[in-house]
Amino acid sequence: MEVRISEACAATGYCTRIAPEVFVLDEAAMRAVVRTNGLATPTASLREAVVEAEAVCPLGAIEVSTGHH
Amino acid sequence: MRRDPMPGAGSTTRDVQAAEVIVVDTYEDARHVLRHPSYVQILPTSGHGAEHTAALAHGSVLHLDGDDHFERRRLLSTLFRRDLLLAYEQQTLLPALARILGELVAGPGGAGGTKGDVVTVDLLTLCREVFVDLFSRLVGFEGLEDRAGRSAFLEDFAIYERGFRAKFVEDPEEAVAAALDARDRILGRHFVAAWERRARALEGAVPADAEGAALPKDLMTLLLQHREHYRRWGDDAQWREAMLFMVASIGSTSNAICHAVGDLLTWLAAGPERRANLADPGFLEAAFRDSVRLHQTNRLLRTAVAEDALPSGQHVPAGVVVAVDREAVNLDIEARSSRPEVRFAPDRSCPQGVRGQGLSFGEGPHTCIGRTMVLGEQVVRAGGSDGGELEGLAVTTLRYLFDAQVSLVPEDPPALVEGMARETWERFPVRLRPA
Repeated sequence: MEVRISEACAATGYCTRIAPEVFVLDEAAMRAVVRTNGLATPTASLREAVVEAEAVCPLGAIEVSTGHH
Repeated sequence: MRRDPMPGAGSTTRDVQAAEVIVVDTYEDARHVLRHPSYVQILPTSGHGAEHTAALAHGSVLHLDGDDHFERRRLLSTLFRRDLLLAYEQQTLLPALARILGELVAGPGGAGGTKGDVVTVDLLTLCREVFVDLFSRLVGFEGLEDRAGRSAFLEDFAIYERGFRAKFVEDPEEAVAAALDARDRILGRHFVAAWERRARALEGAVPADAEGAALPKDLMTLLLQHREHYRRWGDDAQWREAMLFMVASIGSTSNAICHAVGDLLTWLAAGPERRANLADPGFLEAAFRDSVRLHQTNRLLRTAVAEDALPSGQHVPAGVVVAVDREAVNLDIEARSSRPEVRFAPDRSCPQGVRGQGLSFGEGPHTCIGRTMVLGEQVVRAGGSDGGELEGLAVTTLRYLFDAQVSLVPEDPPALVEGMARETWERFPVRLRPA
């Protein structure tokens, strides 16, 4: 699972609340960034949280690709 | 940035407390304040005119902060997912534009007029009529399908919108009282029957509709499904939420489209060769962004929960009011852009990290939930569409209007609402030649 945050990020903080294991607010840059731990083999609940974060973001700034094996 | 005695929120001097206010006037400082979790909106009891809109917006998403705000946005975001935005645009907005421009050609009652005839209309009313369809679908209002229903609705809508902008008007108490009466009429005509029918359907007492289809995915259904959540802000919070959606989706957007048309017509008048740009949706989008930036000039107020240092180095003590001066921020953006010498420039490019629309759709937790619905997805105009065509209602509407050769009426210029310290149109006469 690959997750990226584009330059459109406005630091709403929604993704960091929905999936704090994946998203964190960089207070210096005042935007969300992605933690990479656990994304290679995400649990079902983590995957679900990331997908919700993508949908909730009003900027459409989160891009999720699940890839195929 | 500067510190001064508060000269007035939103260019008004009413209800101003004497407390010192920090005024933020650079893009970076403003973005920091709006994005940082340490800043929340001021309370209605703080003065600054906030108490007037509280009567109409208390408990709506506009007036929440922190955990409550996040919980609400999470609920409401289910109405703004990409598949729904595409459906709003393609199944509702486009047919509404075609139908209403078609009605102009047909004339009252379908009599008279042929394609290519020039018609004179109030663009503000035309936009409101178009966006009424979008609003009805988004919220679930009924009885707005025919012209008579829409006309009565729009009359009360104008009264309600004025009350909603009460902190910008000279008679805020009267405006809010009139708005509450208008709200009752609107809800009585367009909301209550549908609400009660759906409530019974949710309880399983009756089918959702004659065909037994599922309840529509809209705000009304969402409000019913989360009644306990909304009751935390009183029995009327659900109505206030629905009315907020009405003002935002019909009022704010119609006003912004009129501004963009006015700005673009002025810009086009400087050279006939400029009209060639109108065929480019990317140009129309850039024009809308620059226009909407230009006409957001009121102040956004926040309270600093914790002390902070702004990017400029300014220290902000905890508890003070911080006013984001959008007019000053706009000038800051222009000064650092490729076109510092002009106020409206659709060909303006901004430094990396600076949005062309400035702060118009907000930053941080209070970023406008309808932002993508209005602005669309830039990827489409960059040629990277994946098949979905979310153009955004701003570009779509401007495209239809300029295809219809929109022009001003020299002997009947547009007029702003009198006595309102916010650029809100009262009427915007234009000529159209619907194709």
